[in-house]
Amino acid sequence: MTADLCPVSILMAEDDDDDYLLTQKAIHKSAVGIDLIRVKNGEELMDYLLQRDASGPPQALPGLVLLDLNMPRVDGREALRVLRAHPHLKAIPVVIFTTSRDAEDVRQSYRHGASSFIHKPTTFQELIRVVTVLCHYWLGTVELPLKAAP
Amino acid sequence: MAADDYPQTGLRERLDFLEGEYRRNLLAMDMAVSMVHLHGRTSFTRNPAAILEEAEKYVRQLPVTFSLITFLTIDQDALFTPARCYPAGCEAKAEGIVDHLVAKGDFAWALNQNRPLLVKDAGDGPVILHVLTTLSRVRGMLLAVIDPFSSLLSSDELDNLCFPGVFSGLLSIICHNTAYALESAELYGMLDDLNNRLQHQVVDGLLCIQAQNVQLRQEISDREDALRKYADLVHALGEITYEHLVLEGRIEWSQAVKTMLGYSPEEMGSDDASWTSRIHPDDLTSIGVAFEVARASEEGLFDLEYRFRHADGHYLWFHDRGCMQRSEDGRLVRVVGVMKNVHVRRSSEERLHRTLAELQRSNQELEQFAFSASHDLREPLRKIVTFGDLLMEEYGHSLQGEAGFYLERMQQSALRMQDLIADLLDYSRVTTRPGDIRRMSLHEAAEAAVSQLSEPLAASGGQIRLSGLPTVWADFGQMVRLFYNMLDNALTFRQPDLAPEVSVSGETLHAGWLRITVQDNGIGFEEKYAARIFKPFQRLHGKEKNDGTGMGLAICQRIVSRHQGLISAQSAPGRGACFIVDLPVDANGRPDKEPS
Repeated sequence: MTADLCPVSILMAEDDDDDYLLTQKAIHKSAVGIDLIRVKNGEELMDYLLQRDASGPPQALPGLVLLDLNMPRVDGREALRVLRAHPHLKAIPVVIFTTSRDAEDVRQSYRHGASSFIHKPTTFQELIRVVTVLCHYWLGTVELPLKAAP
Repeated sequence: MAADDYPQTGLRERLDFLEGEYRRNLLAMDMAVSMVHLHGRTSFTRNPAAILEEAEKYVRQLPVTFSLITFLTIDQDALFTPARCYPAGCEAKAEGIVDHLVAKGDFAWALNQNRPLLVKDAGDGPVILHVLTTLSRVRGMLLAVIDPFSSLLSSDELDNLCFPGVFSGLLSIICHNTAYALESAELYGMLDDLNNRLQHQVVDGLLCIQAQNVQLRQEISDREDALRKYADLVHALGEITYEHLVLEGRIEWSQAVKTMLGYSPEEMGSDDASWTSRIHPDDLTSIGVAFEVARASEEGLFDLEYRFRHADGHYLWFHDRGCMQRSEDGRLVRVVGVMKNVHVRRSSEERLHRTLAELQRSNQELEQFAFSASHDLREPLRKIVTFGDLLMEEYGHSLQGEAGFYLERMQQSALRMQDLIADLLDYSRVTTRPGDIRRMSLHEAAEAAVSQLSEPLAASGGQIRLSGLPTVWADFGQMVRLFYNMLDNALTFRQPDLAPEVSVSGETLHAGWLRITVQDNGIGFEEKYAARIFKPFQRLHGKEKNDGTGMGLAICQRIVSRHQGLISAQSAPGRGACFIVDLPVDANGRPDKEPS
């Protein structure tokens, strides 16, 4: 990793501390070497992104947004709509990461531009798998070898 | 005889002659006076024979002896025939004399004379002919034969008789009288005929009128009966009947108004307002609409329910059925109807509706609660499982003794609880999150279910056959789930050493019902459990034997119930199970109505 490259990060909008903790653990376990940044609701999400968009280079923006739907204040549905209407921010892939199994939520999320819709897995192994796949697909990260690099 | 003969005759003779003359004149006077009676007796007689009989009597009283007297009258063929003869039975003789006189021309001469005509050489003796005539027409002829031997008359006297003299005058009076009497009789006869005819006509007319009268009375009586019957019916009906005469703005109410609404006839009134002012204000609009519809319709019938104010002030529900009558130019003329008190029925209906609505609401709340509860329970459970995993992942190696085994058991229980909650959610979703009822193919739904079961099916080496599944109105997602659960059941409860064979078939039952049968060759179950297996969390087989939460068939039943159908099962241990789903479909294969 060179100094001029900002590390690729995932921005997680999640009000539940446990889910944040577990996701963080899963990313660590999956050894994809990605930063997990957390905001607690849709409002904080927009504040964070708009500030980064205004001040920093494009690389300062996260490579992926993991968006919970049910959050206090501004929820994930509202945040998704605002995000997708923004000229710059709409380019960021947004993956809905929720416990909701409501078919209407799935439909609405895709309609408003969600890149993917994922149920929060039950087992920790499944969570690791999900995180790994997401990073591979959206961030193109290469899993760091567990053994020492050559 | 010459006048200068007298001096030669004796005084005695002259005296005798004068005396005889005097007697004759006296007799003639006497007879003339009695002629008045002839007139009186014959004038009012209708019978020509009686007239002639009377006339004959007078002729015979004349101081001349006749050997034959006959009255000839004119018959229908205008011939003179003897109508009366003296002595009786001399008609033939009389006719012989007439023929003789006709042949001589005397008869024709007599017809024109209107006075006695003496024919001296008529055979049997001198004959007197006298026409019977009135001013207008000839009625007949009198023929009298003088007995030359017994007659007192001398030849001179006979001569005198032919000239205006006492006897000829008397004879003329008799004949005139007779002629007029005959004419009167005929005229009276005609008058009587006319009178009779008139009387008959009058009687006929009267009879006809009487018959009509009887008929009319019968009709009136029939109508009165009908009216009475109608009134009795109205009375027995006990409902309010009314007649609204629209043009007069008047309503006639039946007696039941008093008993049913508490108004006396005076209080009730009879104007339009007696009705309109007592209707519940909220019902006026619907009544207006119903009346407009009835007015526009061919029959003019209406049938509606509304509230009507009782004299006490409270409102009662009435069912009003009636009929409108229009004039030829389409104007509303008359409205008649029956108002039936349906307050009790209506009240209980309203209570029932309220209770039903309340029940539905509470049911929905309960279902919503079950849904939310299971949904919310899932979250902490998921975390228990995940953190348990994490615990095992990070510290599993350092757990001592049986700690790892306990943790594993905890994890398994948590996972099983997750399955239970998931199924409970599915169960509750059947009604809280239903899909649309659409026209769909049951065959496609069954195929989708089979496709979802492809892995266990392949693993079992079994076979599922579909046949006769039609297109119906149903919720596709739920139909897939229905087939999935039943087929999953069949594959799960298979005979250990036998490849499962499952057939799914459809057939149309009587009157709009479709039967779906799912038959397997699995282990089956005892018939007594046939009802229990459809209850939530019911499991007939031990947990260790077969997986499952016991919700599969409960969900099936719920789906079938939502489609207003019935599900049942038949089986015997070791003989396979047969699941039967009956779905109602109308002629077009649609459920009667969308379930709420």
